[in-house]
This record gives sequence, C-alpha cells and structure tokens, in this order.
Amino acid sequence: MTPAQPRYGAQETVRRAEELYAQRIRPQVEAQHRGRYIAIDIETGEYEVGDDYHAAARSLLARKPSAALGALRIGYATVGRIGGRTKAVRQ
Amino acid sequence: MIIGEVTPDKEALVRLMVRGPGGQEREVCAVLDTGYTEYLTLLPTLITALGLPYQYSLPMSLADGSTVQMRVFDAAVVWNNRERSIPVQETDGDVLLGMSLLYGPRLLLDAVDGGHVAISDIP
Repeated sequence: MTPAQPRYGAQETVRRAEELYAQRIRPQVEAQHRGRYIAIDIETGEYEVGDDYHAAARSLLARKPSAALGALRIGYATVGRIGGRTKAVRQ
Repeated sequence: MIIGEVTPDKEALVRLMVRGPGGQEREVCAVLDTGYTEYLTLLPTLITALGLPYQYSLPMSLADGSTVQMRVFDAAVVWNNRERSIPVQETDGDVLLGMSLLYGPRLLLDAVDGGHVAISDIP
C-alpha cells in the first residue's frame, strides 16, 4: 500500500528516477521498449516496464508494495504533456 | 452518453463526479483539453478533501517547452454511469479532462456559445 504522504517531493522523485534510469537502467530497456513507460523504485533501482505508467507502477507495487515510485517514458523527456505536441528525445 | 456545453469563454465543459477511497465525492466542472495527454487534474484542496492516496510523481511538458513535476493520486470517477479508477494529477490550475480519460468514445461538440458537447460510443 502506498503511503498517504510521499517520502520524497515531486522534484526529488523525478530527479532520482532520471538519474537511476540514465546510470543503470537505460542500456537494458531503451532499445527494446522505446515509447513505453517505466516505473522505478527510486530507492533501489528496481523497475517495471508497461504500456502506460499506471500499469507499470501497479506491476512494481504488486511485487514491492513499499516501493518509492517514480515514472518515466522511455525515449522521451517527459511522461506526458499539457499543451503543445509530444517530442521524442533524439537517440 | 456524457453531455456538456461550450461556454462564452470558448471552453468545452463537462460535469464529472470524483470519488475518494472513503466514499467522499465531489462533482467537478472539467474543461476538455485535447492537448492534455493524461486523465484529470485536480486542485490540492480537493485531493485532500477526497482523501486521495499519493502514488508517484511524473515529469510533464508544457506548451511553452518547460517541464514540471506533477504529483499523481489515485481516484475514481463516474464515467457513463460506471466507476472508473484513474490517476489524477495535482495542479494549482483548472480541472482539465485529458485524452487518456476521453480515449475510446466519440467526442462531438458545437463550437458556439452554449453549444452542445456529447461524448458517446463510436458506432
């Protein structure tokens, strides 16, 4: 069960997720899963890939209910957008 | 079918019931935003009032090219008389209804003051 209050603030959550992804996870997933979503335990680096970030998060929480979650979209700078158009990150 | 209207401020609005895990519920007036990829945004005060549980934080891009981090909470909405579990993003702005929540049916609207908005199954 996720805690009512996050252990980390929003900025810290995203920063840690991006750092873990860049340093440890990217070589394992990017080539094969570009465009899909990844939920990352920002304390341990464990992760799950899914077709949307909510599905990925639920998969990770199912096997690790205490996970401190961050989520990213593989090959994109952001998970989604409010206004504008979606842009992939150039490889 | 879900119905709404276009306001003189050129916003397509629908009313939506949002529920928390303890049975609290509030009706919100949401702006249909096809430039918004996710489900629904809500104010922090409403998220707290409904007791929505925090899930995680996401980076989102805005129209001006900047990136913001948005907190995500679990909620339920009544959609076509059925309850749907959705992620809700916290914002200090308006209640936006995005393409992930809209995804599936047909959206028709008359883009005039008082114009009809209808969300229904694609035949």
